[in-house]
Amino acid sequence: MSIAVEGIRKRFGDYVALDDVAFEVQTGQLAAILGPSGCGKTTLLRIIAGLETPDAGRVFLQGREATELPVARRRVGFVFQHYALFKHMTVFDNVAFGLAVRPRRDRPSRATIRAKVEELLALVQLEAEAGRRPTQLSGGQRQRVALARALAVEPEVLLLDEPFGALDTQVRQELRRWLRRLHDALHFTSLFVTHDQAEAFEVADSVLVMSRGRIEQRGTPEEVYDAPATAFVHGFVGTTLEVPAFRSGGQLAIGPLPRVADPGPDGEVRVVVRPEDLVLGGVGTGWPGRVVRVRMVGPLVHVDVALDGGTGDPLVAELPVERYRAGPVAAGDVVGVRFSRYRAYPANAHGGGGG
Amino acid sequence: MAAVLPVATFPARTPRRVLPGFGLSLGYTILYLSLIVLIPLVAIFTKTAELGWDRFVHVISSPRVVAALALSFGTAGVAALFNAFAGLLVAWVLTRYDFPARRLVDALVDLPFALPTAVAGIALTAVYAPNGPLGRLLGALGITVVYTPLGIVAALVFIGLPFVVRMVQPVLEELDREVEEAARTLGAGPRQVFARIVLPAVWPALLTGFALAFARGIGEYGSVIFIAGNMPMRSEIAPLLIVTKLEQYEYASATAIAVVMLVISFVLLLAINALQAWSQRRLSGTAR
Repeated sequence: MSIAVEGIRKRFGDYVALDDVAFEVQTGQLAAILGPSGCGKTTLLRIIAGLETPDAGRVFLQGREATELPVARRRVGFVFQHYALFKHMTVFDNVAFGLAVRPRRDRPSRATIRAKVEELLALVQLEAEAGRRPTQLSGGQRQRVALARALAVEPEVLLLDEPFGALDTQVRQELRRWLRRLHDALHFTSLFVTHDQAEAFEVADSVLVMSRGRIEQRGTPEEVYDAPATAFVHGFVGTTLEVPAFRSGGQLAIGPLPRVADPGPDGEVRVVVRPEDLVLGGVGTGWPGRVVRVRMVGPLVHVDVALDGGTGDPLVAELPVERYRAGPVAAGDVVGVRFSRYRAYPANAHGGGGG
Repeated sequence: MAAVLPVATFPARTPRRVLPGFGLSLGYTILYLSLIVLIPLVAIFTKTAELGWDRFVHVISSPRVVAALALSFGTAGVAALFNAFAGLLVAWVLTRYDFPARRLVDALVDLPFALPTAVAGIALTAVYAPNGPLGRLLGALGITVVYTPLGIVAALVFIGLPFVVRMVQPVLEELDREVEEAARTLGAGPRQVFARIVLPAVWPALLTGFALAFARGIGEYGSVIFIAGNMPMRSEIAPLLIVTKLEQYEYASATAIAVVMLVISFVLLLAINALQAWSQRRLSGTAR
């Protein structure tokens, strides 16, 4: 295991940033910590890097305990959201820094440093910018310099704190695909922090969802999206529609839909559905409702349906264009709504908003 | 991008500045500089010219004048150098650590600005006098402060400290902590972080603070005359010598010394500016 933490706790005054966090990342994996701002994900990353000390718990890097190890000796590469480049140095000197500050006996020769830096600049496609200052570069270029700088010291693990957070959408997408390719080519172990579920799902092998200083769920992107462990995760990783439901005698009643067997305590239940799992049929096929509005949104058709007896805003169903064309509806139509998939969570559990 | 626009079809005109009022504000700047700085300075030169070259050389090469000039520039330089270190330290403590009396200490730094310099001089003399609290201790070690060049340095350190602190402090505050953390993760030790990351960032401000403290020290009068003892050839500063000449109605001689001080100060400040510009370009390299 490349990165492992156990029982990590950290508080800032009265605020509990991390509450008994434990997980591990397998060697060679690219893992993402996903969570809303303030959930403790950056603090966790900084504790792994040694930039912050935990109040309790232990950190292991490459199977060795590193809890007490100073930052400089942890051999972690750290990439900051706002790049944290050395403004008074050229791109070349930025990348060379980690090698240049080594004690004399471990320091590579000047020629070796030069060769290494040039190799890294080629890797991040910035050979032409070697003599420039960070302020003369675009955001995407700066983050690539930061990455090259972190890789120069050949870290055992690479930690990235919202590495694409400060970039435009387009650059961000480009850069995250590029990071994935780089990861596959170089086989280091990486852990990155993000609040963007699309980013986590696109880049990572495994995802840890955090909320309020705790890990809510860990798994592959599919597992997290298809089988969210908590209502919070369901709400955080994708659009979530909530319908009133209750359970009695081991049977779940979702509105007027036929009851289904669902063991559990009696009482109110939070039933949540993804917009793509709404099925619109003729009257009598499901929960009756009235179509409020129909919109084409790229390859999807959004249909707003106000359920009879439903509380709050209309539900927005998202149908692929072909499926919509097979059974088109218009505003004012009365339809029957079914849910091809849904998940039920205890009503008292926290979550829902959060993000 | 400009090439895309059909620029050539427009009649040529003077380029419009984005910020308005350039002409007016520059005009006022020159007017004020002339009234406040340049005209009085020119007056010094014209007054000095009354002496004629030979008399001028005679006045400024007299041993007493040379000693006073050397003392003024020497003590100002030593004090500014000391303040560069001490000021950096104070600024560092004020920006890096949070302690109960931080705001109070922060306010104390400005006190030398506000205090009448004569009061500072009298207070320092009282403290460092052989029977004063600090003077007694130093006296036991065989160090005399009052009525020696060391006393002048002590006064100039007191007067010059806020210049360095107030120049360096905002730069330290602006310094991104993540940049230092990045250096740490790359394997740099605390001393390397300071030498390679922090110091290059504050260096221009530190130089400016040094230059200001130095310039202030050269011209300082009020605090120094109380503690210096003002013995000719030993502890008499150039500004005091100017006043002495004025009191003897030797106006031209007084301005002659002033001219020499002005020219040396100007050259030194220019040199510091050049060093600053040079270091900003040069001090950046690490690997090469």
